[in-house]
Amino acid sequence: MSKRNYIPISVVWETTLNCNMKCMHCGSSAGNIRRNELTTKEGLKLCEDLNKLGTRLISLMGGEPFLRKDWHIFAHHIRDLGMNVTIMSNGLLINEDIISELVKIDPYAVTISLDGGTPQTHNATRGVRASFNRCIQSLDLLTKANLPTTVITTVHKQNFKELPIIRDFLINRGIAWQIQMATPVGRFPKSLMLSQDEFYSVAIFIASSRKNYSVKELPIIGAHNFGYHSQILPNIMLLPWIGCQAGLTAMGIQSDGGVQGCLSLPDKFIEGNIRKRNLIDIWNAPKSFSYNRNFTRDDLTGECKNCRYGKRCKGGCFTVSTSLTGENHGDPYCLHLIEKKMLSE
Amino acid sequence: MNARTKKINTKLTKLGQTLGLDETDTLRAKRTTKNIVTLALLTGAFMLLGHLMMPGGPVGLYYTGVSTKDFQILFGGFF
Repeated sequence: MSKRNYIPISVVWETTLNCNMKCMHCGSSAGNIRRNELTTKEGLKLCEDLNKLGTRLISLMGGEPFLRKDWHIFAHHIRDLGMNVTIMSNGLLINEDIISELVKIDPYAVTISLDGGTPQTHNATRGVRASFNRCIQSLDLLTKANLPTTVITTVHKQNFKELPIIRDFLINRGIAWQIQMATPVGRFPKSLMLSQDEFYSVAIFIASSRKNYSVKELPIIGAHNFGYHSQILPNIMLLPWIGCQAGLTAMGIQSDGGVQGCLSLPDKFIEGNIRKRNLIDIWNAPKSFSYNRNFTRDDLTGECKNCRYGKRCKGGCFTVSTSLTGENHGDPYCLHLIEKKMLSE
Repeated sequence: MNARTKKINTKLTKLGQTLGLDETDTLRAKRTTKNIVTLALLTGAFMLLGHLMMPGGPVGLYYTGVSTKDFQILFGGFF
């Protein structure tokens, strides 16, 4: 059993499941408010407990976090406690009032989802007409206010070919760009997931963009599910991959107080609820997050079982692995694995 | 150029074309010695950081939405 002291350095808090969009790839199937969402008082206590655990960054996510009237109370409280706060929005509600509040909060980042280079593709993916234009307006408002702004693009079969259009739009705007792969959780259908070849094409695109543009011109990365251990491409993630961090340095809090290592995981990975048990106790319990805390090489499955990087990699993204294979440590969307197949063809 | 490299380059060029990359752009995207050394150094730094912050084993660092601040050396303002 693990005897280490773990710190949830980065925490994602789904403040509400209420959402004003209906994105085809939403992993939380957001839309309607979740029953019994945390109250303002409970949310503030959560921030204090996270501070006690050593958290450095809390990302306020949804649904759409700006639909909660008390979002700014949480954000200010997080900052007052000395932690960083990121707000992850779809960009639909951002206006001058929100911008002036954000300026006071001084967030680590404000992220906006942009899922197409054209209005047709973005609006179809997000399920809301005119959302593309609102998204672009929000990006303009954020950058004019000198707020640290990020675009997150979730790629699938229907939008990945528009990455060059999005890139051309983002160059020299001072906006960071994170590209992540849609995985079949929530309402996203497996049929729209990228093929392994398409996945590799996106990885080449990211590597090429990093080669052709400076960090100042285009700060671009592949998210945590764009790895691992390629022998042909450079690392395209921000950091080296040292295995899934759910329950090690990362934690997710559902809007009703459920605690998970990562919010993309199914409910069977809920470790407890902060209404029934103290968050600090849940985090420090010997049996919590055992899939990662007590991981051994023997837990690897599929092609990862015999991989020389398996022990350090832990079989890639836990969510991709469980959603595609039903196993915990065997993510088949792996650059190293695809390259091995490529060379054996 | 050996057969293995040729095979890789051919496949890479084909995959790059899917997103409008020409052969030169695609092949320039391949990793270099500098990339390998940088990654090794970064891996070492984060494994050491993990040991210092949470004694007992290496840890990485999780991010949900990257920030422009993350592109500064070792997360300007984060630690």
